[in-house]
Amino acid sequence: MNAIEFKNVTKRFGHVVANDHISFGIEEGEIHALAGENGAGKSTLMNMLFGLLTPDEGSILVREKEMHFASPREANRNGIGMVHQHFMLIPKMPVYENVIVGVEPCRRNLINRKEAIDKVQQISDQYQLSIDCSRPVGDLTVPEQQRVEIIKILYRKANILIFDEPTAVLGPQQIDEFCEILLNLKRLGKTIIFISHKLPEVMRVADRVTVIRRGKVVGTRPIRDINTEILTTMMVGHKVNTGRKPRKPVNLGGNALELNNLWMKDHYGIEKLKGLSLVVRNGEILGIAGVDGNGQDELDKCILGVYTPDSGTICMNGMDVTHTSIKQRRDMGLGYVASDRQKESLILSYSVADNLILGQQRKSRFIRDKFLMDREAIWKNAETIRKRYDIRCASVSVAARTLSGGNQQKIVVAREAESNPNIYVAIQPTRGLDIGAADDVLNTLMDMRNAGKGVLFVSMELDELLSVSDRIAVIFEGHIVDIVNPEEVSREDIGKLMLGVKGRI
Amino acid sequence: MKKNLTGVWEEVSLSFLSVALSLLVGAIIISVLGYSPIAAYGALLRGAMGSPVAFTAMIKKAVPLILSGLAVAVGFRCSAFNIGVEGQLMVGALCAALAGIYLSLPPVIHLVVVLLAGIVGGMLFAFVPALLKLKCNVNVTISTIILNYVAQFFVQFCVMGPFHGYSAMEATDKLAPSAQMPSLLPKPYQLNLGVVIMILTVFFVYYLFNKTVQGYEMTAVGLNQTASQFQGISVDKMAFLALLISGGIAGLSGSIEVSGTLNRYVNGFSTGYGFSGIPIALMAQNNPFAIILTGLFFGLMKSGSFMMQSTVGVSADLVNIIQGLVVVFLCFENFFRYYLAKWKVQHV
Amino acid sequence: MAVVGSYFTGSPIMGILLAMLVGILISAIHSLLTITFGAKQAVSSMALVLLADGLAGVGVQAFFKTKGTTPTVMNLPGSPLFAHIPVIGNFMAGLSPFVYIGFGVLIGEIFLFKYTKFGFHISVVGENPTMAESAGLNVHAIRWISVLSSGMLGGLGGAMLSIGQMNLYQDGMIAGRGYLALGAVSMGRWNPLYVYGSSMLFGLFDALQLWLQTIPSNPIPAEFIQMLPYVAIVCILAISSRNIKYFGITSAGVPFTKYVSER
Repeated sequence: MNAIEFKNVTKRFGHVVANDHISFGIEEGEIHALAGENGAGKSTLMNMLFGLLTPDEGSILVREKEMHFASPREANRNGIGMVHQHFMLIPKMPVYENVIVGVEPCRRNLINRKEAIDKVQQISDQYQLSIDCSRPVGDLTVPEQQRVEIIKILYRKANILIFDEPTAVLGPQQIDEFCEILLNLKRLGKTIIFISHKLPEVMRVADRVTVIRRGKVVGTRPIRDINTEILTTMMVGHKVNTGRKPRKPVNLGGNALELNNLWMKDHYGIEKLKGLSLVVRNGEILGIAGVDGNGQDELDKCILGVYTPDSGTICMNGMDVTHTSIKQRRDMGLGYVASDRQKESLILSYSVADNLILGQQRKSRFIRDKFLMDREAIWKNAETIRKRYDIRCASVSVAARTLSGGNQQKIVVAREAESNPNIYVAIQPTRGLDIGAADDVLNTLMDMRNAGKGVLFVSMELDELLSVSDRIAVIFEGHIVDIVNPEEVSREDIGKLMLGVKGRI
Repeated sequence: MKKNLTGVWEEVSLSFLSVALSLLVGAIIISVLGYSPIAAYGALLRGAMGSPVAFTAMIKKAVPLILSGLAVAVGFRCSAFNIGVEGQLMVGALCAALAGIYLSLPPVIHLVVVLLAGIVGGMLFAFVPALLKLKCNVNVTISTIILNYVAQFFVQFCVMGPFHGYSAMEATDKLAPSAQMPSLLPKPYQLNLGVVIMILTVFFVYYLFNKTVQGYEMTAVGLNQTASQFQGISVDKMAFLALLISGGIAGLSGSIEVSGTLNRYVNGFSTGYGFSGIPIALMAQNNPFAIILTGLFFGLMKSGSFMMQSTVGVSADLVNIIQGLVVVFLCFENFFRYYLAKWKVQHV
Repeated sequence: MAVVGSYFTGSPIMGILLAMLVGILISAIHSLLTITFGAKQAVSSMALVLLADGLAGVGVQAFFKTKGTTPTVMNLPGSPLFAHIPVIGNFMAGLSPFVYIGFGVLIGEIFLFKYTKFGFHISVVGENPTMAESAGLNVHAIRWISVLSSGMLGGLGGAMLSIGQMNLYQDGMIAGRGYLALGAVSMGRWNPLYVYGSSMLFGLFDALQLWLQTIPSNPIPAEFIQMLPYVAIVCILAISSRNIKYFGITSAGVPFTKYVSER
């Protein structure tokens, strides 16, 4: 019997089809992996099952009965529980309190703490999760906190457990332990859905795997019938790289940016950068490929100066900038396109013209009489950039808020390019843009390269990386596993590197 | 820094709506108390603008209110919620008074020094919460509120103790004539140089935010901290600067009162000028020119409230209720905008 | 913070009830503005302080036809209920009943947060409203009830000042005690018992300044002594704010409403 069955489930966001007629079944008592690249539509599908989203078409069957959950609570009541990537826990409170919220064992509205502790401890023991349930959650390690989340859904009597990228927050050893827990839950009769894009774990614990690519099911296969090669191909596809942008040869200059052996822990104490080293030369685009969460965020913010690495050095144009401020780095010629334009790059209430000088407002060409802003220069600057980069707006004095996402991004990309940087860093600059706007952004990167600047380009889109990069560095678990030449490499090869296949299996 | 027209329209209508609703609720309260709202508001208007003398008195009353509003607005623009304008105003006023009493300088220079002393006094007192924020991460709102009480007792100590004047009043001696602000009009008209200084300050704040690079950066920090930080603007330094400027304007406000109206420091002279600055700034959406209007509105109410109390019998404290109500209704902002946005989506 | 703005007077028991009712009404406005509409807490509470200040003034004028100070009313100076207890009876009867009410509130709060389901839910909402909602709690309802109760206690505190300690209401008699309470909460690390203790400490400062003022040849100026509690609070805030992330309530003051979409 199928525990869950998806029948032609379709979900659209605007005119983007996130899930396109998805159909497959999950058998009672199996570990079913759901694999696919970032943005393939895995999370959307699970959110529909869990009651966070409603499908536009199609139906979801739970134990052969059609179900429409209006909220996660309803899903809970029907025996479905989900462990989210970001834990929902209160660090100050002990484990058992975190577990019982909303379903407290009570006598006349007084919480029976003894019963609560017993019940929770019993679950921990029964599933061999080895958690001391009277300790505050804040004292626990990340894998232990994850187990508290598991206890939470088991306490609510879930039989079908969904794990959303559970291994993203774990180190290699911890992943081994986690796999044991999954197998143990299976032995005790639970059905498990395991969302992941990390192949080793999928190969190790899953009974069957369903691969989703661009919102469609590529196929469902028993694990024993496939290997990592096949799985990788299923995930990244066979597409031949065609769209490589023409480029003129540029004499490679010195090193624009050098990162030497960077190490950094996040606030959970997990090593996010582990000896990361790379060099960006003047006159090249170095692409960074990698699955989300392998240290890109920390890398970007170390380069900008928001974070300081625990050890290692960052050099710009041969100068050590490891301990300098953001402002100093920008003054030394760092152009930086942040990943979230609305939160990190723009002041939405400011005019287009004002946004086009944000960060350069103290440059002498925008200043007169020492501290007054030269409105005319700012306006001229804006008009020039607007024409050059084809920013579409009623005038440069309208608020940036009124522009479309693509034009907002053009403001950011143009501003950073026109600040005359030596090194241009772009973090997912095409995210959420339509093809035309994305292409404009990529052309700007090419222009920067052709002008002899060093360009670092971080993207989740393999096609883009292959199209513009001179070299592609693959980041995995906090370090660069390999640097490849995009003209000689296939998508599959990069895919394997990104998924940590080489050297691990 | 121009905004698109619909945005401005939205904000102006929001402010007018709040005032209208507050006056309406005020009228209801007046009726409940058994008076005629029309008579009460009529007396209020007559008290403030019934004669040319009353009119000048009303403008004079509005000067410290407008300056307090400007002081609050400078902080707000940079997300520094300075509730301590009242305290900074008192300390500034005291410093101005001391400079006016104990220094002997030539006429014009003396007045300038007195005003500067007020500004410095206000800045020094704003320096405390600014430093506490920078070094110890103390919430500016809470620290400035509590420091108001510290200021109150400190100033009271100075006035009652070492600097107490010869008269029986709870006040210092009179300022030297060279430190007193000249009148612009002959008596009984009450306008003095303070109005000019107030208008200059409005222009200063306007220039600060619309013309200077520091103003651009402070506003950027107020609107989006992360983006400002990522573009290399120091968020902490800007908040620090905004608090100091805010305190300076508050101190100036106090010194004009001392040198222009009271001619001495009188204990308890400020009847909540600093607190009134909050609704004044909020209502004006922190726009310095709009603050002149909203400040005059509150000046009108404060000035006319005595007439209302003496002729109709409604307590002058009604003005405080209306002040509070204005802000209460301004807090409906999100609600208002939410439905406006919904309505727009449906009708476009 | 709106608690500062709740005070009223009348006949003793009715006066107290009325004070609590007014406290609830004012905090209801605060709840509506901040919880439901996501307005900034600081703005809304300042508005209510201004409003309450005005209401108190107009109220005095309207009911008593005086300005600034009410005429004296019946007050609750002692607790004759306890007079029959041997040995300490006289002492206990001499204390204001508000002392016992305050103690009762403390016990009640400890009980609420330690043993009851509702108290537990309040804590969860304060720490992580998203988690609370996903566990099926009604975040808005719980926040509303909490703020209303806080307004009620604020009103009670105001009544203590007007008819417990004195027998009239006077402009400025509150003297920022509601704000001092913020410091006491921070110092007491949000634990009712410790907060009670910190408040006692401030009470001690207050008593100290009253006592010092009565000493005829006291070298320290009265104003400095009166300033003491406030300066103490600022110092304590300076020390305790550094670690506010560890002891503070994580989501206190963070809006959780459909009316606020960004940040």
